[in-house]
Amino acid sequence: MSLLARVGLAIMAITLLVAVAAPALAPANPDRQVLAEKFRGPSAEHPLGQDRSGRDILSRILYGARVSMLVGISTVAISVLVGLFLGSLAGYFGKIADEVIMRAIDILQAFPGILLAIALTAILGPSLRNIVFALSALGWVGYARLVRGEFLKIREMEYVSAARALGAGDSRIILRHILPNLWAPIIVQATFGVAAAILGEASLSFLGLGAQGMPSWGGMLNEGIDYLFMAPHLSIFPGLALMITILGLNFLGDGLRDRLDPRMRAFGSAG
Amino acid sequence: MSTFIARRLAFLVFVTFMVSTLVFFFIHFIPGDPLAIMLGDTARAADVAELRTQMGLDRPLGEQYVRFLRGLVHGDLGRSLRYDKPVMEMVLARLPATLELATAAMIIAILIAIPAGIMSAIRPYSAFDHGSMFLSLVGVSMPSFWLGPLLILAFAIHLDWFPVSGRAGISSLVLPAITLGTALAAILSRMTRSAMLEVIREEYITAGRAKGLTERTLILKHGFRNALIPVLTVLGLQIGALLSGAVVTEKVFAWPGIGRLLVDGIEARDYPLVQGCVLAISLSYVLVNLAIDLLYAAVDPRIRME
Repeated sequence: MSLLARVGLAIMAITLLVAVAAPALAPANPDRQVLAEKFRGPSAEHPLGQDRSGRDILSRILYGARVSMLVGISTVAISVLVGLFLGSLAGYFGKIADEVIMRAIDILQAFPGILLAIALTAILGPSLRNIVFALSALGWVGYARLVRGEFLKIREMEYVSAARALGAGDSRIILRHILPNLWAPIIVQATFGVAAAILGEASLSFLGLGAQGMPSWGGMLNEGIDYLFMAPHLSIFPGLALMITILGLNFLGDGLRDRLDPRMRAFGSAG
Repeated sequence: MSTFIARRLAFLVFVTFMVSTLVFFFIHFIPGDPLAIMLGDTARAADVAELRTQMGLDRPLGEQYVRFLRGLVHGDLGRSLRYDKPVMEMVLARLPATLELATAAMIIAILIAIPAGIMSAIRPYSAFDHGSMFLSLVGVSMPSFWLGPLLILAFAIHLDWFPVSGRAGISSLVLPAITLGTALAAILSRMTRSAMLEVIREEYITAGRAKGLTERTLILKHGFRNALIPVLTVLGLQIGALLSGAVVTEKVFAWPGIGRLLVDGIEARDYPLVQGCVLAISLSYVLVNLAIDLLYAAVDPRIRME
């Protein structure tokens, strides 16, 4: 594995650890307000300073890793499952299934970037569950296309005909003979997918559509933007945490891609 | 070529219809009463009922849907609840600012990414290549709502070169355009590099070199023109990210575009306004993609034949 990929893996592991162990690591209660100390810059007691309610920014960033990781991982898990299922249907059976699924994909992709997620969360209301739903609503499309494309290639191969000649049913052929070939490209895409979902959640939170009542990096940036002039530390530190996490995932994704599947040159998009 | 255009136009109409339908049903199939949410906890039942009648939400769903489509065909997107103005008028007033921002961001991205990608491809694995590919990874990982504030801190507050926010002349466009264009520049430069690397290995490049063409002609005229197709594809796909990214960037810089209008609509729970903005942004995207498809056909005659 390349150096960058190792760095990426380390960043990912640390962020995951922070998310799990946030209560043990955080120096203070992330919700404890000390109004008399609002907007204070970094100090010995509060290494990254305090926010507009005097809450400890370091603790809020550590807890914020929970929202990021939770949304990132669950969005990708749902997207991969749905994408695998629909992509297999379209690619293996073709005909009507393919036509219907591909047209649905065309329509979903007519919504640019995360606009669909913005619209869905705006209408459904801001909550963690709705954010995951909204991000997955478009997230599955990439995996479905990938799976479908691979199926179209693989289903014509001789070993699939051989399995069929031996009497294997559709589900056995799909599960035992075709899907195992797909893990490498899916893992690569899922790594970029976690980065995109974390960025998506942060964007929604920044727009005021984030989960209420729990610290998230995007939400902290949303609060910070109004005080950029008088208290830039409100914006700088959560943004740094977000960027390092996404950078780590992109390093890891790049490294995995080079290692697992050199043919795949498509670059994970993150807007 | 004309059947190609006709097919793309038919698809455009289909997608437009489906997108509008989806947006309509989002608003009507959500759990809970949107009007109660819109008016807040303190609303009286009579007010909710009055607004319901006023918006026609007490009519059967089928009738509402037909009315919505009919309005759409006539360019009527309903009235904003908050501002009590036609949504269409508000959207049209804000659209130019967003298009200006997105175009400026795209120009900046192209000006940075294409030369950088070509330079990287000419000398792969050189220090320049490693440096620019590392920077491009940083570029895609940089959330615009963090890059924007950093640029404001450095260039507007400390150096005082550009205004902090708003839209007043070209100087106010610089920071938002850089903010929005960075991720695109990063993705484009990687795409240009890999497309050029592929093209450079082709036999016609070797043939051109044997014929004594200068490297400059070889790279720019013979190489780059052929690398342009995949670059255009990525550009087309990324315009979606650019338009939805504008929503975030406009909030950072208080840029009076349609993204800012959408965020205002969301904050005010002004559903007709939200619906109108989402539709307008999606349709701009669909139209731009149609333009890119046509551009393709112009660049690559093979596509017209399919």
